[in-house]
Amino acid sequence: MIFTSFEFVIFFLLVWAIRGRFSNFGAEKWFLLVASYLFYMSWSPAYVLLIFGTSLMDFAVGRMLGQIEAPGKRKALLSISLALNLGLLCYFKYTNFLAANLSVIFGFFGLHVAPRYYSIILPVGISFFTFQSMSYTIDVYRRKLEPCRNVRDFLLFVAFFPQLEAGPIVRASYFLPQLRQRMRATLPEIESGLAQCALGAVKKMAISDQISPHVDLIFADPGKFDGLTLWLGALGYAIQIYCDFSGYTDMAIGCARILGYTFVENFQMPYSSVNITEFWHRWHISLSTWLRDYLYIPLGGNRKGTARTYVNLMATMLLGGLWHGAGWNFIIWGALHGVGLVLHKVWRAFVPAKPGRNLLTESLSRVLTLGLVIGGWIFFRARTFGEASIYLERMLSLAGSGTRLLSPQIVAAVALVFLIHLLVPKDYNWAVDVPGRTVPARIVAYSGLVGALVLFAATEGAPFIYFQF
Amino acid sequence: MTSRRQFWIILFFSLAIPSLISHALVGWLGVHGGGKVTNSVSKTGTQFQGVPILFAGSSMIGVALDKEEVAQEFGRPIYGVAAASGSPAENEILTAEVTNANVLVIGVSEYELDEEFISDFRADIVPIAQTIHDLAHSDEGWPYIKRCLSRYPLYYLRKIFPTAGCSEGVMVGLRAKFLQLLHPESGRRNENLPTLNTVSTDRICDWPAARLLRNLSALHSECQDSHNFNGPKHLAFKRLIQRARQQGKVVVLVLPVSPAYENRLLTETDKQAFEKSLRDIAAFSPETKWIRLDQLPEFHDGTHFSDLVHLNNLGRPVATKAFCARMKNILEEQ
Repeated sequence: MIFTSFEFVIFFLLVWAIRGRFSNFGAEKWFLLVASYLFYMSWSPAYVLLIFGTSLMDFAVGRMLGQIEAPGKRKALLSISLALNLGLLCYFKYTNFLAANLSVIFGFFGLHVAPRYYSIILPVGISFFTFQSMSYTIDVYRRKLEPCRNVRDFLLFVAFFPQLEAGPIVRASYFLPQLRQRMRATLPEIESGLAQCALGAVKKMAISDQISPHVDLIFADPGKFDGLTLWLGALGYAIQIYCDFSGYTDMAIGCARILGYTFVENFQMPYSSVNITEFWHRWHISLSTWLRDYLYIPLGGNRKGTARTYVNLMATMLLGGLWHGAGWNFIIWGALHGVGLVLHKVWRAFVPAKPGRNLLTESLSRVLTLGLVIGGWIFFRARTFGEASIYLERMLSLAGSGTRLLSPQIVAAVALVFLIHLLVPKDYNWAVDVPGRTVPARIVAYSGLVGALVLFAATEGAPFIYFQF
Repeated sequence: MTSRRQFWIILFFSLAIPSLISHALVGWLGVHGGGKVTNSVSKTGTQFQGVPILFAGSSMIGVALDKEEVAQEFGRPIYGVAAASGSPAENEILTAEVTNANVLVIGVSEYELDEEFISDFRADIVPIAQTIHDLAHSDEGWPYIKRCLSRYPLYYLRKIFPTAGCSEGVMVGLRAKFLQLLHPESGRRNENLPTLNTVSTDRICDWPAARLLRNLSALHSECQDSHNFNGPKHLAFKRLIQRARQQGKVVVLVLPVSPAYENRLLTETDKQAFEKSLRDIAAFSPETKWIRLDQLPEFHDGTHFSDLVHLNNLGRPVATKAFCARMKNILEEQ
């Protein structure tokens, strides 16, 4: 069930209406849990056992960590949780990738081993709910969080349907306290939630889905198109993935807010970043903070010297790339960003930031940052490393041969999104600010969103990009 | 003003204003909004007495055949029912309105019989119970079922927002208006959605590569890159023929699609599946007559097509002449 479908609208209205009827708080949460599992089962009934099983196991680990003091035993418990979660993730996501690469490695040693392909269906959201669950056990282990005492609350924390399929990755320390209170959205919160849902729907249906067929066409055979078209395709994909993913997250946050729960924003105008470090503070914030807190810092962060800091950054970004998908193109994408982050640190070490704002250097920084990000997206989107190379080579050389496909949809989408990133303050939160304005201003704003949907929303929607992760 | 009152006022106007704009744009831009594209049976050659011949199909048959010429040829009135992107599923309902014709000509093609192309007007014409019945009796998967059934809430949504789900029509209409503003002397451009009977002078072979790719990409996206000829449309096709046989003769007119459609959208497996579905219909109703315009050699290049599926002003006379020649033999048979 995707957020932009009629069946989800009916499902959500039913959940919202029925949930308010429960006089018993416990029964209300059981209802939300069952609804969340039904939501997941709409994709695959059998895999709901997977999410139930891993959640139950992590709940048990958390309870035991709360009772056991011996460091060795605590470490062993944490290892069980991490091994199970990461093991499942590796099995479903990386088995075929590992098999193919092992075959190549054996080949280097003269052993011919035919690569095997295993028919494994990737459970939707596995990368998200495993990370979410692991963050809980790690925080309990570190004694930053008290173990959850109620299994229903913990199961609901992991499976809560607005964020189940593609995030944001919600921290237990943030969400479990909300589950312990009886949350009811006020009318302003409902308005804010609806506004954010509408904004997300516009991003997804009126922008991302409109340009998706044209972007797919260009990336399907980059050798067929000229350099200008390839530039447009790359910019188009940058907009497509941003609008698709941030649109989904907006709808997730909006739905949660309508139900009375608050999630942290996951995107904050990332294409207005002046450097790659800032980009990672604004893009997929829940993942970047997870990687920072549970990978980069445990590796030593920036506390073990300059060289080690760079190594930690690279390792974090390489694994971050791998998290997105089982393919060398994702690893290269991660590596590009890792190199960018390292170079930015090196730059800052030699050229400290000056107070005040210099428009020229800021513009140059933005262009360089965008260049790196868009270059990275080419590897992210291309099916193979070879295709990405062809794409980049023809794009950078402004290849004259090939078809010129100037999609007006892509041009309009790129212009609109980059203009917004240029003109709107970086930390502006539309869904929080607009509901505080005057009634006519709100009517104009919301009418604009609904108008954009009824005029420009594509009939046949593309799947959410991040569902494949 | 209380916050509750404020909320409802804001909600009302946030929906009412876009609704008004949507209704206004449908007329101004000429977008195919909600409702049947045709609400009535078209009648040609009414000066002739005799039992009418009924044509059923989509814009493809409307553009392919010159009905005036056909009426002249056979000295009979020609009635027509059609729906944009229509298929036997819609034709089954539309043809039930005409009870006095003793010959039914059903226009079909690789586009119209493809289950993956669902008419925008399905919900306007085919009752939901019929659709559910046909989905239950076919082997369609859940994604297709959802796509098909989602047309029905969209039908009701279009009562309030007629442009909902018609973004292509809106953008094409806006582009035409914009070009009119820039070049008022040139009139409306040809790159627009065809109406049911209007024949274009465009030639797909003259299209720039980019335009062809965009159009192919739009179709790929619409059918989600899969093709199937054995689902609800196939079931409706059988029922349509069965009912029409009780009234008189049935002729299946297989219309051509452009070589670009044939070669770049369909695989050999898809084409074989299409032929298999036609053989299945022929076996189901051996008395049905067939006219295969898709096999005419003239339609194997792009000069006779105005777009991926419609014939142009060059293709229409070829199709009409070939149709009349074959139809004459059919009508002379007892």
